[in-house]
Amino acid sequence: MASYSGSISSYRNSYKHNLCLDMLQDGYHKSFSELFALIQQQEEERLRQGPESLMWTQKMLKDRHQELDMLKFHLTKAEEALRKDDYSEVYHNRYELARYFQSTGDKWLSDHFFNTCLQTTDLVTGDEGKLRAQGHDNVGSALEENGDYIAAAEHYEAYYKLAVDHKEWIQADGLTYHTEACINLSRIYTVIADKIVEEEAEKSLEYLKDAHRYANESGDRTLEGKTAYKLGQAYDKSGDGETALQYLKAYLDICNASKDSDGIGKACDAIAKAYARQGKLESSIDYLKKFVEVSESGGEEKGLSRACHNLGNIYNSLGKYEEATEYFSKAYNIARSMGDMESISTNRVQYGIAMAHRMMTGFGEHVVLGNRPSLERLIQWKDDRTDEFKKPFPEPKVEEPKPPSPVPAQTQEENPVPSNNNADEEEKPSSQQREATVEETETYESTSLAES
Amino acid sequence: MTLNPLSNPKGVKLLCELCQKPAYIQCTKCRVTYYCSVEHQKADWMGIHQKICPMLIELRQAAPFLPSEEERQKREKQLSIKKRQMIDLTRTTGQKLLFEGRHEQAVPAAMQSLRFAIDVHGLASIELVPSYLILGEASIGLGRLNQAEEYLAQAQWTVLKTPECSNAIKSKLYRNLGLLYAAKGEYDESLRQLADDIYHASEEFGTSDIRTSGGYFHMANVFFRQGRMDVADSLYREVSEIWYNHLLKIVHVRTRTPDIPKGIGPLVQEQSEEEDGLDEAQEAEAVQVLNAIYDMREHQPNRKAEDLARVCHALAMLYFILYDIQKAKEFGRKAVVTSEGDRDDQLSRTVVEFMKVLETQRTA
Repeated sequence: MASYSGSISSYRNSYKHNLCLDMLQDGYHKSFSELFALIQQQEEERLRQGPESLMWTQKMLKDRHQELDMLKFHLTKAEEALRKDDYSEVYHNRYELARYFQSTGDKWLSDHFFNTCLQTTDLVTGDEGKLRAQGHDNVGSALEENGDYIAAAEHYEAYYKLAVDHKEWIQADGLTYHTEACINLSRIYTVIADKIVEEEAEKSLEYLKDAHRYANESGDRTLEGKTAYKLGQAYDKSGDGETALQYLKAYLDICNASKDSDGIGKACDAIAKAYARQGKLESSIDYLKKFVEVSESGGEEKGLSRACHNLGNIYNSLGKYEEATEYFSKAYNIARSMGDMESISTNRVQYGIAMAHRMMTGFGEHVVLGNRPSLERLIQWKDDRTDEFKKPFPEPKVEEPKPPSPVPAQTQEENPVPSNNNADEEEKPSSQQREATVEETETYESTSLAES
Repeated sequence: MTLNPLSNPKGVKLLCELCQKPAYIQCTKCRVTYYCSVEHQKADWMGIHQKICPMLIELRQAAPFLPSEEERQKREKQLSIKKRQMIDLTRTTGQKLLFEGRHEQAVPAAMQSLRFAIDVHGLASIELVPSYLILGEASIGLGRLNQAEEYLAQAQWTVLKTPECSNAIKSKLYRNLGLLYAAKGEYDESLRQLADDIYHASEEFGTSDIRTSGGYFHMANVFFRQGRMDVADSLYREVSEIWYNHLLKIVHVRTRTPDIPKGIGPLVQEQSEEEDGLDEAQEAEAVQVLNAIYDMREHQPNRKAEDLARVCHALAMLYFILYDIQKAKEFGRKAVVTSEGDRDDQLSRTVVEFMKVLETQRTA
């Protein structure tokens, strides 16, 4: 009767039921209760989310035979080891499970096993906390994936504390634990800083400092450079230009050493901006020129376009309109070749403004002169809008000045506009102007003067 | 009071309560119960009759003449409710006797409950299964394995025919089957049945409930007998932990009640009584299981101090709940001694705390 009922029920029962029976029969009650609790947890979650949720139609753990088998295999092995007090074996089995569920995309399961891994390491003795360090690392990265950065940072800190005295611990890929902890910490602090930069700029700065410190400690030069760059920018934003320059120059050095042309460009750009903000336009121009150089040689079109644009801006504000137009046209051409609509429009407007500034002097002189050839030229200019004010007059015969009826009004109107634009355009074109340019046609050369 | 079957009125056959043979003796208290011999009367008295004697009068007396249909229905309803109560009472008594190891005395109680159950639910109902199970367990305890198998087969058949049968009943059935096979020495089959028991109990109550712990305990016993000590050890630990946590909760509730002013009224009282969820059978089970584990641990050569301390503490709490302060103190002291120098601070702290509560209990 016994074998009869046993064989019948094994067909009658669900897969999960039989699996549980197999485990219990061999006395693996801990594995059973853990598996049972996991299945129950998932079912409760499903009920909580309700029939409209995605989870409702998902295949539940209790029907996924392969996963159940995997769970059973490793859980029973772990329990076997637990009975013998072999905790590192327990850890390895749980770690295997966590990795397996990471690969199948069951985040909640891998999280669970990473957490239990860490709990197990409390009991492991005799390896000076190596497993514990690993456990913290795993839990930290699991939390990081979940977006719980603060908690992740705590675990990484614990990992770091364990690893800092044991530089001899080396991972499979050759990194020491210590280095990896530093890299992780640096990364997580950067992320946290990015998150809270809007609300709490000061705290964000603190996190960035931490990130930079750990990056320094890790000995990874590129990472160090990146954090320095971030930190520099944050300082720049908070108004501490000196410190910002210090960090940005450090970044530039690192990039120079590693021949990272992209990075050099970024560094030069940021340094130039910082200088510009401090009012040291000369230094700013120097760095921008370097930026242009680097991006030209590196074929960095986007960077080049930006560099030219910034240079144009600065020259424009310095009143060196020749250079300004030159750089803006360069920026415009590059933008056109890249097909970047936004920068095409911006540069087009800027080019127009710079051009207008350039013509301003000649135009003013002509208006002041007010004699016939100059008026003719003004009218001529109204027709074809080409800059011929610099040309000497063919016959310098003086005629009686006519009362300039529309023109003075125009000049009075026009004078403040460019200077306004100058102030705005030092950094970036305002969106208002960008919108205006979209409507404009190809006659950009003198738009700002003529059309407004 | 003696009777002579020949002097019975015509057509009336008075039968022994236990063996259904012609009766010669009548219970002098209720006058509705009959026995073939003094031995059977004694057995029944010790087993169950003592408790239900006065209640039987109402149930067995001939129905008085009731003129209206309404009244007849009312009486019918009342009787049915009383019978249901009797079923519960007799079953709990039977279960308790089983846990106390008095298998012989459990039989009359189980028979009585079976009789009432048949009366109320009919012959093929799932409600009969618990009574069959008690009978089966009693028979196992008495070593009458064939009889036990018969009872259990009956129960299993009923369960199989009732697909909507609750997990609690299934779990009990499998537990008894497990015990049967264990008694027969078929350990593998026994483990299989006990596994089924634990599975169903977990479905019903969760994995760490005292009603699930029974399965673990029997399983541990089987492993113990098979000589697989590591497994048995782990299972015993699980069982003692389950009981420990449960008892700790009850003790907390009990010791917290004095904080609430007593004037609040009956509502508070009711609540605390609900929390004290140990019925007679469960109390008996706790005593049996924990004492068994305690004995085992004391004779274990390479035990961990923590295990023994935990069992001692659990026992102390149990006796405290049962108002046996003397024993509670004894075990509490043992728990303190064994938990000293242990790395688990949490345990020793709760033990000390509990001892303080005990002291106040005596002075109060």
